[in-house]
Amino acid sequence: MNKRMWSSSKMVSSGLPNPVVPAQRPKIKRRPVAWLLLPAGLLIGTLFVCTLTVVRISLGPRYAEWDGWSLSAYAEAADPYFLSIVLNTVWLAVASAILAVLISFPIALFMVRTASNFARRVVLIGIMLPMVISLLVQSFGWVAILGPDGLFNQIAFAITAEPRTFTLLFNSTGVLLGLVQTTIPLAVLPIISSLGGIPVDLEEAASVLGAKRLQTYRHVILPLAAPGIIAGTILVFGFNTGAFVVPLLLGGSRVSTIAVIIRDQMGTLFNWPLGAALSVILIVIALSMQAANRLIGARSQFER
Amino acid sequence: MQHEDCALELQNLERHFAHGRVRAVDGVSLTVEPGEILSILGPSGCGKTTLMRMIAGLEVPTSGQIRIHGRDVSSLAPHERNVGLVFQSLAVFPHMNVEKNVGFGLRMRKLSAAAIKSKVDTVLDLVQLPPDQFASRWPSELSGGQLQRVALARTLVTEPALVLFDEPMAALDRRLRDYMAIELRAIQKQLGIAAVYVTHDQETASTMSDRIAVMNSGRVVQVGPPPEIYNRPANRFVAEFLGDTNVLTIARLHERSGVAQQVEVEAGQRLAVSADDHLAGGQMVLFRPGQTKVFTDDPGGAMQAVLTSVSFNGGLYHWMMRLADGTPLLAQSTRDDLGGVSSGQPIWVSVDHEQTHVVEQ
Repeated sequence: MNKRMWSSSKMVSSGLPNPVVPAQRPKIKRRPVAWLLLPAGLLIGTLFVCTLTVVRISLGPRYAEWDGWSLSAYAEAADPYFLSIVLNTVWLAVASAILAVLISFPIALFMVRTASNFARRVVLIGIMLPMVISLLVQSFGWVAILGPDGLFNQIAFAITAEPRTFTLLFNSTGVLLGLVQTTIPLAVLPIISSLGGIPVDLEEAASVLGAKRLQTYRHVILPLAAPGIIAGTILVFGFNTGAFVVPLLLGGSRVSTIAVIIRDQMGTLFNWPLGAALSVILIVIALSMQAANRLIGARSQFER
Repeated sequence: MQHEDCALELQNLERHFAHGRVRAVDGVSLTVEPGEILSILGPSGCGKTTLMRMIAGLEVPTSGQIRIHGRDVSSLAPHERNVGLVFQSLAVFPHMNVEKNVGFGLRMRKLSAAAIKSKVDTVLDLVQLPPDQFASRWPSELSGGQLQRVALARTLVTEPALVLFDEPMAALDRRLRDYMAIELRAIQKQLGIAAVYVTHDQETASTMSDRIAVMNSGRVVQVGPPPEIYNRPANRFVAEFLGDTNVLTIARLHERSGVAQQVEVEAGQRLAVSADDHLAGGQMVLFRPGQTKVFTDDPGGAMQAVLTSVSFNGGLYHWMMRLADGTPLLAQSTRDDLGGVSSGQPIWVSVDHEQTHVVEQ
């Protein structure tokens, strides 16, 4: 009531004694804001040129990359050896994305639901750690834990007196563990943001309308959290298709990924066109998931 | 004591927060008869929302019992209570169209698709959202009033034993709110469902309800039909919450006669109150601005005051005045009884002893 009286008296005092106030408010000019993008634009533009360069090199003959045109690099890349590595990379990326999201969902749910700010902060720091610690350091940590004489096997030895029970290093299991652990932040953050955006009322409404706990998750929470879950999946998938450090250290020579063999071709063997062709394949795979989501998402999106 | 025939019975319900230091709901006992609509009216923070959430099962009572049609539901989960709740936010699912929203409760109960379809169509007709026009619409395409109807339909379609309303019309503008209140009451009466309507808006409460329970600081202060609550408020809080009220503190009893007794108020003026009121001291006289009479000359037996402002609003003249000690009074009338009197001039005000009401401090 006080507020209302205050505002009405204010209106009177500002309206009456000043009849020459122009009817139109001074307009703030809306200048184009494109220049805000300039610094990033320069960087991304450079990246675009770099990518085009890679595409160009992939279409040139070996040792004469800039002069001629040839599809020989792609023919070479179609070799069963390279194809198996491409497939292996895709498999690792898909599996790690699914696992990372499965692990991240409960974490995100805890973050959104907990009443304790302290717990939320501690968990957040825990989640963010992989982002601030070098992948190299994390991978060496995994080597120390998974290795033939690493932590796991020492614990197993202490219990069963059997040496080297687990073979976790230099195979897919180890690489997968490393890929999942290092990308959990990428999955957790978008899921937190989508879960956090679901009003508690919707969940309570479902419950009052007769939905049991699991029904509420299935029919209300999961569909509404889907954008975050999909974003997390795409981020982890995209990031891990290009995984290099983790498979290099945890996979050894047995588990290779596209990024590892690109480096071999470019750095060690100086087969630039093949390295470039494999790079183009990597880019296409990483972008395909994004494109697939756009196609599916365009049909089922309820937020207009 | 137990009433099998009550739609809802609350027995000494309590909800404490912060280890008992805060008593959001502090010993509430209430009943709602079948087919009745009871409003719980109170300012924000009075515990009305907590009370309603406990009835729905969204909040666990610290102590006390909740019975719905004689069945103790105190320890049941929300989905086991068969209670409907229309949220303040309406909580319409944004990822479902109208048909899916309304059919949600039925799908959870695993009804056949055909049964769901027919029930949903019926209830959409009831809330005046023709199914052929609205069934496949998305919530983002609906107006506030239409969302309101979807939320109502979604609740009614499960045929709950009791419907709770948590100020679902707070976001609507005044005119639409009045209209919806009348319509909501008509639907509720048509279906004969018992309802509890939680609100801080006394006008909506009066329009909607058979009875009003006024809450303050976690307690029910008064329960009764709207006219009774308005005309015979139990205390100053109830009186002031239900609209403009004049409050005068009684200084002493002056004189007693047949049907009235003269009291002297602290401002020094004398005022007649009903002889039925028991005077003990430290009490207050309440009367509504609409029940006053104002005069430009002393008619005898009226209180003298000084006019401070005049306004015309809602078809009524409003006269603000002050008694000798500065106590403000408000008088209202449809007629301009004080035409020509300007602020600062003396006027006289009286109120019939039948229209006054004595309450404890």
